[in-house]
Amino acid sequence: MSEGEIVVVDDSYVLLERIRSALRAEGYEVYVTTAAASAAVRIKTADLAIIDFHMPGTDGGQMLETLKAAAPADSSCVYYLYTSDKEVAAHYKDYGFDGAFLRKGEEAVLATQVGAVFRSIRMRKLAKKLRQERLR
Amino acid sequence: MTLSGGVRGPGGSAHRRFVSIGFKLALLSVVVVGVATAVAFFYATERERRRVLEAKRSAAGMVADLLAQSLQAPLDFNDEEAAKTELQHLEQNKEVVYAAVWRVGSSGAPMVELRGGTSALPAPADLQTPRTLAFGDRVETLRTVQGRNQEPVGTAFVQFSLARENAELVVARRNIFLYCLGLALGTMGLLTLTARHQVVRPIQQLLDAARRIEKGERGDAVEARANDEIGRLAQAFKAMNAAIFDREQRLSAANASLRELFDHMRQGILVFGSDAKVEGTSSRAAAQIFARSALAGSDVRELLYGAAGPWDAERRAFEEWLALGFDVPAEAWAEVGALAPQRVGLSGGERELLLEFRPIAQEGRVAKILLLATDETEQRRLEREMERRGAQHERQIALMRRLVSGGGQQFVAFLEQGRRRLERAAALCGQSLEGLPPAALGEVFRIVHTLRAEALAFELRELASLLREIEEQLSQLREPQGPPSEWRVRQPDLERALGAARALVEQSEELFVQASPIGRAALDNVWVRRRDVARLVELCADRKDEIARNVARLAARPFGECVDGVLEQAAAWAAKEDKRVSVGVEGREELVPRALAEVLGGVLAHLVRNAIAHGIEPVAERASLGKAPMGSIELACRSDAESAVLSVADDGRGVSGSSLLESAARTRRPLRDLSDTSHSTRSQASELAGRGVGLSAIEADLARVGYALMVASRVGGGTRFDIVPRLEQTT
Repeated sequence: MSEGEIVVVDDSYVLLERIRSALRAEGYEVYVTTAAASAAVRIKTADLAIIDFHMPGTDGGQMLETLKAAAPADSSCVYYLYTSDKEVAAHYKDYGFDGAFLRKGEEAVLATQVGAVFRSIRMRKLAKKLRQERLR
Repeated sequence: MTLSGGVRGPGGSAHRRFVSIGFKLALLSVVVVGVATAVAFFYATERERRRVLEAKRSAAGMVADLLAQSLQAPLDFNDEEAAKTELQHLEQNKEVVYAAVWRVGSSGAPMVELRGGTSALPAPADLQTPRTLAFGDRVETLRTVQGRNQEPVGTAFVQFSLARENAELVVARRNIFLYCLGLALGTMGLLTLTARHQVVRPIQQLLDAARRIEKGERGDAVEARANDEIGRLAQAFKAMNAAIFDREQRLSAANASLRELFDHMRQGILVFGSDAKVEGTSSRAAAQIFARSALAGSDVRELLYGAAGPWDAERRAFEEWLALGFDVPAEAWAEVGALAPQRVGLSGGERELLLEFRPIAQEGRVAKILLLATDETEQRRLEREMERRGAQHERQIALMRRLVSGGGQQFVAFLEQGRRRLERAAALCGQSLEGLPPAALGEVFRIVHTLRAEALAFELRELASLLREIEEQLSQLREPQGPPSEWRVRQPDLERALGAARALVEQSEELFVQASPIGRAALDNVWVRRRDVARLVELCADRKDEIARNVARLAARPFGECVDGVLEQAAAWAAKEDKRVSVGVEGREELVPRALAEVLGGVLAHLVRNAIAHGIEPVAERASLGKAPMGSIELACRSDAESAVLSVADDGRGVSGSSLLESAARTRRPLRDLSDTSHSTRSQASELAGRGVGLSAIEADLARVGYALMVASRVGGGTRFDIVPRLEQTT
């Protein structure tokens, strides 16, 4: 059973391959793509979307809008910006992201950050379960 | 005496006004002494009043009796004048305010009367009953006057004033009051002083001592002189104080031991509450790990994720975890604990901490959390270094595989071509990418593409990966999207990448040289057939010219080739002797003349085995001598155009002069050198070294090819063998 489903959108195949390799090693099901159309299909079941900001012909903000529009209404997918630029990361909320992963290109760091996101997801589920138990 | 102030009773009860026990005792003594004094005062004054009245009544009675007797005759004879005269005798008595005489049976106006003052009251109604009565301001006496026949003939009545007695009584009352007051005040003072000295002060001392204990100071010994309840209380307090101090000492010692234990642990230990603030003292390691002198009050979020922005996933996950961790019942902790962060990078990832969180439960809730942080920076660095070395070793093995399969020459060619190609690519990309002709771009792309494939063939994965990234960038340049200002690939980036590729090629060459047994000589090697070289040597056997010398150099072998076998086996030889040894080589590229090279493998093997057997001490012995546990043997070679000088030196025990002398004396032969077959410094032959026969054989082998063996040794400082050309050979 996979740790979670991740969609990664970037314009560099080299980076996408490295990200896929690193995150798969951590047990995640990873789908990497350079195309918004493919990402929009995969986002329906994804738990986490990692989106590059600087992409030819588009940027991370536009890509995020596309993916959010494609995601089902009850989707709990979280969207993270992937950049080395702290200035861009600081505006993650303005673009509509849930957070940002820094130190782009360091796959080990990315794996740790992704691990933290999935811990957060599991914590929310646990908190919900505990609330329901209290109500009972 | 009154002490007041709000105090909280045991169990935090409501405030009650503090009233000193001294005040209570004083108040009680005032009330008791006051009441007693009042009673005494009233009793004394009443008694005095009665005494005065009784005296007055007695005197009045006597005067009345005398008057009645003196009136006997006047009344018996009904002589009014005489009666009046008798009555007038009373005028001398200033206290008689009224006197009267009645004939028997008369109840109206008296026969005679005397008025001494205005205060006299009217005549009494009852003239029959003799009496003496006292009133507040007077004493009245009535007597029956009897005639000669003892029958009543009249009645005499006298009224005395009490003004003088009353005035005396006022004075007496005042005096009594002053006496009582003095006595009361004295008694109260005495009682108060006694209470203060015997009760209040000892209790106050106990209270002060208790407060000092409360503040954490050692309670001073309270004197317990009195043998009463207070004294016993003081003794009990003293014993309790000693017990508390003893327990505190033991607790402090246990605390210090625990603290010492914590401080000696590699882990940083701290405790934080639901507000994420560090509480109490933390371990010394924690202060070092988080680089703060005092951690109390610090926010654990800042300690762990201080440098992270609000977007940081790890920080946000930790904040969510904190909220959840303090919200769940203690029994649900296991599920929450599993979601805690296990590692964190500090200082931009330069330092790594391993984190463990433990709950501290109170009343079924998580009240605090214990954090155990272990700095794993050094361990991770070592692990990475091991990984790097492992990868390097893997690459070296791969290179060796290529060499063994005859790929050495190909690899050298690849390095040379790769260097040239990358220089060419860098030159082409040196100008603006916008103006780069498609043909030039195509050439650079092909260079990189070819090199990547070749790098993969030689298992140079890092270089191949970098070249693939460059290839990716070049692909984008070949099919640019949009104007040049929007291109993602920049000329400086491309130049840097090509420079990095060039550096990796250089690094590969260094690895190849390191992996090669003949070092940098491997880069100059060409393949020739041994039979051809041997034939050339034969043809030049009688020549001494330049051709002969070049042929000799062509036939010479790198020193590294000659030592290869020794290097492989030295560790095993040492292990058999229960010793440890490292063999170093210097000058592996140096050329050894062909004839010497043919015998050198055996010579070096003998010398190294001898060094291990005779020279290098066992590990324990070396340790006792202050030497490194591992012995060292250095093989070195220096060569010139025609000959070589070689050495084998160890850092062992050297050769004992006395053992050599004894050996020489036993054989009665002059001591020349250690290669004499009759000399051996070892009494028992071993698997590695016997009785000097090996050295003799070596010398013979070397002499056959024109070389001699020289030896130098220092006791405790090691032995050095030099292989040098024989003089007759070189002259």
